[in-house]
Amino acid sequence: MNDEFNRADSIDLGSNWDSGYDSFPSCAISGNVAQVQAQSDVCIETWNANTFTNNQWAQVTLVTFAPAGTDIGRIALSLHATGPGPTRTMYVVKARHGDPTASTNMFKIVADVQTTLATENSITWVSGDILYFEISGTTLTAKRNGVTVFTATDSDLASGRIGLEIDEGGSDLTLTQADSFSGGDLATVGRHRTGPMAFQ
Amino acid sequence: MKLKYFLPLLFYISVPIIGSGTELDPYRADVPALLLKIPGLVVNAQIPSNPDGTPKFSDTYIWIPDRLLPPGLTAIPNTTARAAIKARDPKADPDGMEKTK
Repeated sequence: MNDEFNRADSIDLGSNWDSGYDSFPSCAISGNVAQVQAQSDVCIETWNANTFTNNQWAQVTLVTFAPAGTDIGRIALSLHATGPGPTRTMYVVKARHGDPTASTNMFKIVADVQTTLATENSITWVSGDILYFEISGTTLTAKRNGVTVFTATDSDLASGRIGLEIDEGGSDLTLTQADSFSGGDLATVGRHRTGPMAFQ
Repeated sequence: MKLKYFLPLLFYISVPIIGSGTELDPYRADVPALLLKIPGLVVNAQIPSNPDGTPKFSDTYIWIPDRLLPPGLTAIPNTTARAAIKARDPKADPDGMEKTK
């Protein structure tokens, strides 16, 4: 699947996406990119239009990732996510900008309880970077622009959806935006892409 | 040269799991301060969870790629650590931890 978010501005990503995770709002579309609805929001949605195998991947372009000053922005991908509900269960890889605690994290979230599986603090994520996340068996891999950032192993969450999370912790929600979200089964052609997929 | 601090290109150490499971204080490996000073350090940890999300164990194995073992830390032989990881989670793949960089 591929979603370029090229449609009318909205406070939801559309019918192919589900929000409703805990108290997190839906993401918005503005100017053909995805962002939070309001300052300091954290939005979470998952793709509902396809069912993917357990070996799955997702990627997104951090089209604008330049929070001002000391503001913190985060854009994340989720895999093996459950559907909407009062709590979240999913694997998450999060790229962070302006966050002194880490540059990239991989989490396991089980019923809202969070565990850090991998972390690093040397990458500077910038606008235009591509965040990629895959699960193959019990190996979880995060990449930046096609280069592995880190891997981890975990088997607690066996299957589920792919999704997107945007966390804008600053004063200008237009400085943390995502675009060109894609994902699928690892066996499909197109994995490890470094640019948007074009359908004809 | 203090050769006793040099080891092969990778090693595991066992550390406690800290945290409370919240977003600001997730369960995580308690990485020794000596390691946190290493520029570009990547830390990955095997932390199996109970159905409620709490860790099954009070400690975890972390794998440190291509680094020197700082003084004061004890490395666990790879074969020992990999066996322990599989014992804790038969589905786990230690190779998955060691693919980092």
